Amino acid sequence: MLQMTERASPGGAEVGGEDVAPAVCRIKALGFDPRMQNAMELLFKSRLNGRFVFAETDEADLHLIDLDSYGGRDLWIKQAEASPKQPMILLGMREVDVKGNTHFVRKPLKPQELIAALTAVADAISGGSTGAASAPHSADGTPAQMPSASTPDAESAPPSRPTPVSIKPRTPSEDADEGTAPATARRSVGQRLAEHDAKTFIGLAPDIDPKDAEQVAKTQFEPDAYLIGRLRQALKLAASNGRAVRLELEHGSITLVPGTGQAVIDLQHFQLRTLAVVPLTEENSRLRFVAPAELAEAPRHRIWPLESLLWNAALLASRGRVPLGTDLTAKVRLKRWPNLTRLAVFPSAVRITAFLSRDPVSLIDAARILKIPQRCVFAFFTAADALGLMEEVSTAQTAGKGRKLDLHPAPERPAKPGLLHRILSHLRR
Amino acid sequence: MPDHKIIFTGPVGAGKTTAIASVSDAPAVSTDARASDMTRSMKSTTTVAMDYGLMKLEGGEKVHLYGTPGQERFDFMWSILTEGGLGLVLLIDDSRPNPLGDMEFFVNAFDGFIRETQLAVGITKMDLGAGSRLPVYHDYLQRAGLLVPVFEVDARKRSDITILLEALFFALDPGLEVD
Repeated sequence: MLQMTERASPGGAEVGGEDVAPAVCRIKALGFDPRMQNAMELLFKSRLNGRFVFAETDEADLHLIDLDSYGGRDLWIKQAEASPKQPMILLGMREVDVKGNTHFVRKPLKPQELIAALTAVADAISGGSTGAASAPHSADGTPAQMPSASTPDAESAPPSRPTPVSIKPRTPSEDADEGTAPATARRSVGQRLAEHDAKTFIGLAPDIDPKDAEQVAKTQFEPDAYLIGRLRQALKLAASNGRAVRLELEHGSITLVPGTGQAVIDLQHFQLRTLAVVPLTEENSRLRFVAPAELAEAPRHRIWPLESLLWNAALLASRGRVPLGTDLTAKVRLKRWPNLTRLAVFPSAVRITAFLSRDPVSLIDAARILKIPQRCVFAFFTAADALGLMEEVSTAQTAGKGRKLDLHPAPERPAKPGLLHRILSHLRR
Repeated sequence: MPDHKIIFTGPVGAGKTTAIASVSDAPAVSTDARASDMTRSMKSTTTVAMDYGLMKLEGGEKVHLYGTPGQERFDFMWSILTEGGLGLVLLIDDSRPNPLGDMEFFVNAFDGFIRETQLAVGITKMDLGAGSRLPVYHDYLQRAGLLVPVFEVDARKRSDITILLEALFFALDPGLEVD
């Protein structure tokens, strides 16, 4: 079990000496859940250099009281009555009147405000200046007599008894197993593609010169001639008629039921993959409506998320190309992130997604700036476009945003590119 | 050697502890166990820690994975926990009565931190075919001015959490090049 508590030794100044170790202020926390206390200790460690520690006994230099805890106000009253001169810091959602060496910090807590209160109290204890010589403890470690605060009205008067507030205890919500799917089996079709598999999906075509029309033509294909095109037609038909549509193929079928986000695939996986890359005709890929009576309960392994089917079909047909008519130099933008955990993710797909979700950029420039093969960007575009996630952005629209995309430098880098690189490498090991 | 941190947040039961455990190099620690479980398993002197995991990078660097306590009464701790963090992973349990309300709460609660860093959202416990619900989450986030990764995740699967974290980092810097 992780131990968050830190122990710091009290200041050990020589009696009468001038070289005094930094004062350590012991805090007694009242009304705090251990987790809250742990969070405070993190703050003490990271921002206050261990100047404050939680006391394990009742002997403390100051009390920290959570007024919103069960009986929090009674704790305040009791503590104030027992030790009227003891500095206190009260935390609460509703402000209370305080005076003397009692401070109030309002929730939601801002670290800076709590630090300011703690520092003010500690400085008052040690004589009123930051890093002052006097320590809360005498040189031999026994608790020193607490000095009065500098203000004339030094003592914090016991608060008047507040109107009782009923604090409704929170009940934890039903605690199902964390992160598990419902009882019904869930088919996960997302996969991170290994390098050799990625070649099947994005091909091996070299980069092209966008000014060379012949090379540009080779980067284009007609989606309607492939499974992806027929699926999109089926989807459109199903949506506009509100009826299930079946695509009947040579060795099986694919049924799309509108509004479910699902496809029922009556094909082997390898058959589907083969069909996705060969041109289809209307003769060998017939579309027809499916009567409700025909929609029998499909076995779970036959049900695919529709997005995954469309994405895979588009990638396989594309093999690193873009749909016919795509302007490789037009600025495009991603409307939203695809659900990458449930899609075939080829190397650099996540990077491309992140980049295209920022400012509008052309496919050619995206590949250049990210320093990746154009076929990767083209394949991504085709797949994302099949899901309706890409949009072309006109020059007028980008100009209207009042910002010109500077294409030559690398994307704006945050302060820790090396660190993020190391973390990513670690995750992928 | 400086330490770094990534914050995981979300309502109780969304999968924070499980997600942290799936990528942690050290056994993860949880505090969202039921009271009865805690009573049974804890000694009287045990200090309860928050959801915690650790990634140990080559060269000795550490990345701390902190899970915020899910209950709203601990919200004042969140600003303490996020200080210096690299980014935020928000896990939303799709099976809760109002997951969109949960998302709205946490996005608002961490608004400042999100705008300084980045956000990646994982939706847990989605039914088969409920992938179509993801646009609802996207729509809300885009109305809030956020175009961020939103993925369906199974918090037990390292691959899901890895892709979610990758998305977070590439959203911070698409220029990252990883071998």
